[in-house]
Amino acid sequence: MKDEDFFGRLVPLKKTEQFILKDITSVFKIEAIEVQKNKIMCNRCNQKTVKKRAILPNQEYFCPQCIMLGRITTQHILYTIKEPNRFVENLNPLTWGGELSMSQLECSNKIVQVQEENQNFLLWAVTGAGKTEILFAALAEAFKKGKRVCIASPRIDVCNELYPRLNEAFKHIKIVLLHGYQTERYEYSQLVVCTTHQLIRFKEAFDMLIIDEVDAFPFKDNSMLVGAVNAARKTSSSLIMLTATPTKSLLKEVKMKKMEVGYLPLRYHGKELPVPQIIIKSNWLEKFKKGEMEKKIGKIINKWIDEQHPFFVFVSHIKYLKIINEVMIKFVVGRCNGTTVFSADKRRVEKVQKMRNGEYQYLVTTTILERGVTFAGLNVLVLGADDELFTSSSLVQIAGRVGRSAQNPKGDVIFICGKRKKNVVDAKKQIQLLNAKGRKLRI
Amino acid sequence: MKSCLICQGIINDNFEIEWILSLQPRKIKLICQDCQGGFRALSGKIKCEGCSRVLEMSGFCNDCKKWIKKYNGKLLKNTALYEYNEKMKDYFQKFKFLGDYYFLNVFNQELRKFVQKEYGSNWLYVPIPISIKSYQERMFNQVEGLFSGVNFTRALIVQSEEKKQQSKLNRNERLRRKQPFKLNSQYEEIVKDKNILLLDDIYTTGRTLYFAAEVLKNAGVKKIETITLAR
Repeated sequence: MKDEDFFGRLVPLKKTEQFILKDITSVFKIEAIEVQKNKIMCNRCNQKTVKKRAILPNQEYFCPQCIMLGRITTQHILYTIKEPNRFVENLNPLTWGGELSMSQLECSNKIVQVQEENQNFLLWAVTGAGKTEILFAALAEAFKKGKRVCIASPRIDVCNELYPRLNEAFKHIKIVLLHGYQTERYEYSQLVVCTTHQLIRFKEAFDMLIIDEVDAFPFKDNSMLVGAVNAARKTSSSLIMLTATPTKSLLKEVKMKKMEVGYLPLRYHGKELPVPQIIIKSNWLEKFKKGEMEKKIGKIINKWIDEQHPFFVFVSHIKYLKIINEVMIKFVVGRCNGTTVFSADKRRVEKVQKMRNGEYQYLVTTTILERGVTFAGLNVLVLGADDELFTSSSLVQIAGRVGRSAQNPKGDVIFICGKRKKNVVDAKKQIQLLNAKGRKLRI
Repeated sequence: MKSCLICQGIINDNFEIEWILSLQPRKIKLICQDCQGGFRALSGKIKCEGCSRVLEMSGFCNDCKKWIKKYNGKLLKNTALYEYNEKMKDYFQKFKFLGDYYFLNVFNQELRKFVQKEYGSNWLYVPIPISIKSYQERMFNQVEGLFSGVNFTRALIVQSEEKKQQSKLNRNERLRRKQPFKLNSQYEEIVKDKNILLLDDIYTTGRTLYFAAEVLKNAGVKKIETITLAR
């Protein structure tokens, strides 16, 4: 191993593997797991676990909470080297030539300032506001100063989409992409794009930490990830959180002046968000279960197929995927193709790519595709939008998949509900409210 | 609110009328209903009389027919409690490969009770061993974990350290392997003329269990049957 592998990172090594460190200097070490009276404490993820849950038959202990990052046990030591910011100087890192709108520019300037002053900032921007581009100026400033930066998202799909865009915008900055499904080895780099879980492996590494979709599961209500965010930042650093649907607790922090908020109610192309159409059909699920297409739904799908626009069909639960797709396949036979996608689907990335290539015209999906995924000209249908598994913020996100490209700023968002419920009505209201704010801004 | 060991989803742990009527102590749920439903129990299914693989018609599966030929009609009787499907694969991924030892509790009680009820005290229970290398890495033998509470007779040991992890071999490589086990010499006398139940986690090709049985037969064991969690 090289010194670099330890910069700002917690590297677990077995006590018997310490010979790996022979050429490495100034390394700081801590026990991976501390054994207390009734619990064990993990020094990687900072979580406590009752002994009974964590014991091995040889009387050693492991941490079950961060086990998805590779199991660490009482036989491990964590090694780290203080982040030295050892990067090649680059005074002109931005290789992106695009332009920002007035409102985007205002936000962008604000973030540059936040970055300089090492503050915390919440950017509340509608879906499709061009959040990534708004970050470019601040990223460029940070790179110029030799700062180390991380962009973390709870979703792998978002990371996979961000990575090539960032590579394009900062061609000479070394970027690594880290998430659980990829096999590339870790390498020291000035910019890290990763899933939020990967932050657990870092220690006081970043001068600027950006968290996308800060409201999204699994970041919400997860003390391990909240702890990881704090541990991965340097004591003096900036934290920028992005959201389209802020949670109450975030807004509370804003009110308590714990952080500043920037507001971007307009999409980058200046057009309004598509407003969902709520359709009540109490028997939609029964129809599908019988293997039949509901008439109204069929009409909508026919229109989309005729217009040759791609579409997502969202369902609340994995168990509906199969039933619904079987009816879909029968219904669209000979006209287009599609498939199902869910979170544990090993071919998920591949399927999304196939949709991009035009091999599929539709995907039947769980909420896993509610965020971050962008398709030009997309329409969405939510089956059972009144199901409690669709929160109003996830419905806003889903609606936000539509009308994102400047060529196709419009599109259909259809919520099929058994009953009119609060989550559906709230989502529609929130979108209308954002549109009203956006209209004011344009005038 | 508890979360499911396997999928981290919420476990619905309400009191059920069946439990109240059953007068049984309350079982603590470790996994959610969806994950539970993902495991396919084999009891009551039509399956191979040799290895418990699910079949459309009763009889022997093609693999077992080959074993009958190879071992002159001496087929091992294997009982498997569950089908090896995607859910089971997921389970073993977390238990065996990620190394979350606590996962043994998902099936331990069921396996232990089954063994004690169906076999009882006239049998010796021999777990399939793992190599020293695997043990150092994993720090547990998953078979002994799954069946913990059963009185083990550790009569087998891995003889060559080359034993590559089976899961990394393909089917043909598995079948071409050399005898990986030998008798633990301390047990030479103990196993003679005994009934032995071999314990394993997954029955895939049967190769492992037939090798183990061969060693024990040569040591003069009277009768051998096998049990696995999954087939």
